[in-house]
Amino acid sequence: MRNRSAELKVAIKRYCLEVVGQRSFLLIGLLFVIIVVFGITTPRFLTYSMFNVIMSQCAEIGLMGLGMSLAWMINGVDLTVNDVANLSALIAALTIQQFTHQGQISYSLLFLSYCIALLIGTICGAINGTLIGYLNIPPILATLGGLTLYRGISIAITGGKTLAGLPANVALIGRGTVLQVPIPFVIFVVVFILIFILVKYTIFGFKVQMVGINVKAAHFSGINYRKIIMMIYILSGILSALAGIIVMGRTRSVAYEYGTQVYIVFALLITNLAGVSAGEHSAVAVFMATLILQILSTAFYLRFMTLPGGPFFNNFLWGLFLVTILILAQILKRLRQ
Amino acid sequence: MKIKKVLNKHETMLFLTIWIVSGVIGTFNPAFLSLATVFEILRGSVPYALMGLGILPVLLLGEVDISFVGIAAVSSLVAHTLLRRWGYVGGLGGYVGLAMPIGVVLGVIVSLISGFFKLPVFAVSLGFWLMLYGFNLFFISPEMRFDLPAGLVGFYSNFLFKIRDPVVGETGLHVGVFYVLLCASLIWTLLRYTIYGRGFYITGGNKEVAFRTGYNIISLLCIAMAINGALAAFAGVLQCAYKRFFDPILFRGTELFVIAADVIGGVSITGGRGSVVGVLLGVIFIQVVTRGLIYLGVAPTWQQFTVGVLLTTFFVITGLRGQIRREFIRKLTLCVKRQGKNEES
Repeated sequence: MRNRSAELKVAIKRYCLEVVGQRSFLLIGLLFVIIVVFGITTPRFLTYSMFNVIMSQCAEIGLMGLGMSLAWMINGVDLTVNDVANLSALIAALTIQQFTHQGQISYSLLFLSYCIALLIGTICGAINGTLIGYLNIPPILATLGGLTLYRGISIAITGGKTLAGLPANVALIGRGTVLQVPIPFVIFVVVFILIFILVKYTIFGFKVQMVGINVKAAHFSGINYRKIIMMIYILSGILSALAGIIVMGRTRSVAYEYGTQVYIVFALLITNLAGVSAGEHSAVAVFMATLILQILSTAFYLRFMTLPGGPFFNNFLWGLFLVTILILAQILKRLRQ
Repeated sequence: MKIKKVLNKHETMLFLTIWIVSGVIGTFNPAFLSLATVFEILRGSVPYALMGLGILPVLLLGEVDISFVGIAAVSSLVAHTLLRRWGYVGGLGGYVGLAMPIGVVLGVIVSLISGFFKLPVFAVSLGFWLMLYGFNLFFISPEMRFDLPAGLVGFYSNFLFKIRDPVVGETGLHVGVFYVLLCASLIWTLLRYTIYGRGFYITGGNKEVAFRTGYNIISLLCIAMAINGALAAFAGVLQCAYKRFFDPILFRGTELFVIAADVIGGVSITGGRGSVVGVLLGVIFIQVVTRGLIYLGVAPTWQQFTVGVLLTTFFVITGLRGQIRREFIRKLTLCVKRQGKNEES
């Protein structure tokens, strides 16, 4: 009997390490520490409205981070996440403006415009996938070209202006709530569970892991690796488009320059924080990393809001935080060995 | 045989492409084809060429660094702040003398962290990218600094020799071009004739082999990042002297284009392949294209789009060329093998 319980323990441990990922435990600990530290030092931190803000804002960076982490998993990088989001939101906004009558738009037409946004995300992802998978262009370059191209299209369409004054229905997806939980957060959790299942429990996910670990071996064992790469970048494009829709809903406006520079760095930050590496992907860790990032961001904002140049100080802390976490994870890994 | 070899080189193809692109732009707007434009392009590409040369050893090692733009911004602004406080009124010498060591130190810090903790340089440099710009904006100054010392005031028109142009007036070959050539020849010598220089290529080609040959990978990375930091700092000071103000967010957002220029010049992003000449040509190519668009009268809103199309096309063409060449070599070897078999039988 005792033997069996010990066996069970080992099995659970293995399950945790393999499926949830070692990094997740570190991140959970970190999350706890952060909440306690800021809860004590910052008076207005542990309130319902604060958590509402955190939950409704973490979806955007989380979705982009998920897309980036998927690309990172197959030894790639997707620098286009932010610009795909902006471009697809822009096209959706133009469609919405076409359909709007006296500041109103029916929900079916709104849904149609969202579908168009997702379609744009798919097309952008397919372009990236073709360049990387079928033409063997290094991912960092292919997506750099894509970034310039998509941003260029956005600038050319709008002439550099911000599209504002979208109908009130649009705000539902960005500011609405279901059972007191913000809709963006619901979307994020659903997508996160889907990706988790897709990577860990499907044949496709297994193939993706194989391609990530060794492209050549995957190729020789009969996996069409070009198709897998294509699918991953399409998936990343769709996730980015979803992020774009949420941003559009939250701000009720679209600009080509929304979040340029910052969101790419944040997506990379999430990926690195979650310890995603070739063939190793833990959606749980990505989720945790997103939460940590958003909580820290909100907490930093609360703490240093009054400081002159506070946002700049946040940037400095971000960098320090990333480097420290990377070093810490490496030291822990070495200690365990 | 030798001519064929030269023609087959990436650098030669790029050189010809630059001429063809300039010719096309020139047919639409003859004003583009003038000595003034050449000088303008050379002057504009000086800071980017310096950064491109600096990143070359790092790319050769198979690592990607994006912190060099932050290093350029921090070292130039810190040098400026300190020198102004000390009442310095001289020219470029003091700035370079102070900024370069700062750049070297920052570069070495990045390389030591990534070397000792076995982290990819990209991840560490991402952190430093954020940290350095945050440092600049928060601790030094969030504003642009226009208070140049007397020695730097006329630097943007410090020409080696002057010519008269009917359109732009007086122009000439800027002294910065000379600095680039100096740095380029130094790096070329380092890469070609020193044991460490060869080490960059070997490590980029195969890390394990380099390690067993007796190379210390961490010290190689240190040297590469030190060069990178030094040249980035130099580029930062030069760019600020051109623009006539010191900018806390100098070069932010251009880091990927510098790397793209290197790759256009034939540097492999996975390491082990690349040359100094290629880097210089790649930088000039990007300058020709971006400046050419203005001469072609492309509307400002469409410029980014056009650059995107051009970049993507360039990458696609190089990708396809590599694929066709591989296919050709495969068929050739098959042919040779078959012939060998026929002769045997």
